[in-house]
Amino acid sequence: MKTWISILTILIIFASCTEKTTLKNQKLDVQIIPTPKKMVLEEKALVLDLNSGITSTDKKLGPFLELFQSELQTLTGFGWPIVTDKDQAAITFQIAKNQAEDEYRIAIDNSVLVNAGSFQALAMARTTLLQLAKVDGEELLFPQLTLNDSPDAKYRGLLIDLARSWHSMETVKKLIDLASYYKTNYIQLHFTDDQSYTLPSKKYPKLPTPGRHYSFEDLEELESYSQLRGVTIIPELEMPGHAKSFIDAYPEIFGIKDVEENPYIINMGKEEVYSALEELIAEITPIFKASPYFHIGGDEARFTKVMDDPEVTKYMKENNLGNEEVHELYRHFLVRMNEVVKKYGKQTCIWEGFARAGNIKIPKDMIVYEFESLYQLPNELIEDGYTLVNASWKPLYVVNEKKWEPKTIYDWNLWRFQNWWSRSPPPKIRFSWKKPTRSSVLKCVRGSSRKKVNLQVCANGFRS
Amino acid sequence: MNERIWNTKEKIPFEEFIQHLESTDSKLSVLANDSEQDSLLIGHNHKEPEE
Repeated sequence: MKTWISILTILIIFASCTEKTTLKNQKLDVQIIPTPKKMVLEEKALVLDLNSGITSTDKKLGPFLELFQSELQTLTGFGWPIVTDKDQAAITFQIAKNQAEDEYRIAIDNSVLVNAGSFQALAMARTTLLQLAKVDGEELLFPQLTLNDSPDAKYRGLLIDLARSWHSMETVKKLIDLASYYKTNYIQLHFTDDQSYTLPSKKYPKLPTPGRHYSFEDLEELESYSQLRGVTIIPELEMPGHAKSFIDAYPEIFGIKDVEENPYIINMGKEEVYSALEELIAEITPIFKASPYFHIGGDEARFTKVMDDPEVTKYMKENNLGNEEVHELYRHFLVRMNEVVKKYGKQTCIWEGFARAGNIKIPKDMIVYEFESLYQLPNELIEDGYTLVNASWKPLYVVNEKKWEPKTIYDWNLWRFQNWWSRSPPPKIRFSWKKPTRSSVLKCVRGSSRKKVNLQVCANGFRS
Repeated sequence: MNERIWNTKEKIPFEEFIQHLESTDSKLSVLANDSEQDSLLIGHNHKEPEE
């Protein structure tokens, strides 16, 4: 009797294993973007049926499995249960400590096994699986393959300018979906600018622009939405320039004496301003827990009439900044704000904007987003020891008519910095620079532009 | 554009890339319930105005 029970048990186990998946002779077309580093495609396809499920060895991945389940159903129409028994699963996700942090591996044979070095890498593997899934009649197929993948650049960014062109929560979530799907790992949200202040504030309730701002709950929602998809939001408060929305709301705090002539710049000569900015940063940083970075803008500040402000004069004297050069005050401001950002546990990011020369040294722990190659050239910044994010205006910006077709973007590479405008001032200069670790050459067209308009969508790569 | 950030050296010819992109974008349209990204940049190639 015992022998019969054992045989029956073996048969049941065997039947359940063979039911959940089948390999059939069918080679599938595979189209994955970004192109994986290594892929060996076999001649067969794995057929999954509804008796199988999705699982993970890590219980913390429950919400992630639910996301994948939902996305797969939306895409293919097939509903798959989440199961706890690995033997019942046709698709298994697991975080493997023996892999690099941003590396993942997919093996599809009699089942689908996904190993990744981190949660973010697992989230990237999920989108590769979504791109691999193929519906054929009543069947859901995956190609038989082994795939190893990891990015060349650790920082793959998308900037959304919410201050010039406010977007609904629904649209921002769609952009997070897009970023996640194509394995962008950072979304920089440009929350403030002259046009509007889209953040909430308890301490300064007049700051949020009516009808064009998010609540604290909205921001929490965006943070968790993006984190589940392996994307990290970097918040940006633009200062000291591009700050008309601050000054419109609280001219008595943020404005300079001649605020009507220059309503765009924060008064860098008032202690009250530094305290207020710290309070605003303190309100926002706890929400974006996952981000190691906080962006303070820092570009294109207009200094008209700043030096005529008596509080500026007094502040500069008290801080030994001289009495002639407003750029020293600007540099001092950046250094001070960097200390505030670090106090709240983040690393400071700034747009290209400070000049190479200056008495006040700009700390090397600030990450510079090079977008115009105007105020300082990328090779100079790198020679001086800064870490750069390549935000090359051409071809990465999508701003009104200033956008470029896919072929132009495809011909770009991470080592090229280019402005849309190559005319003087300053004169058009081409130069090359040899990277210290590779033999490829950085080419840069130096140009100028004072315009930043409406929607910026900027992908950028990390350069350190 | 993530293709050239993920793979800093060109891995596949543009013609092959754009074919793949059409396929992946069509899936993204279903996932995000939005197809705007499919045509946002097609036909745009900003040129600097001549003096």
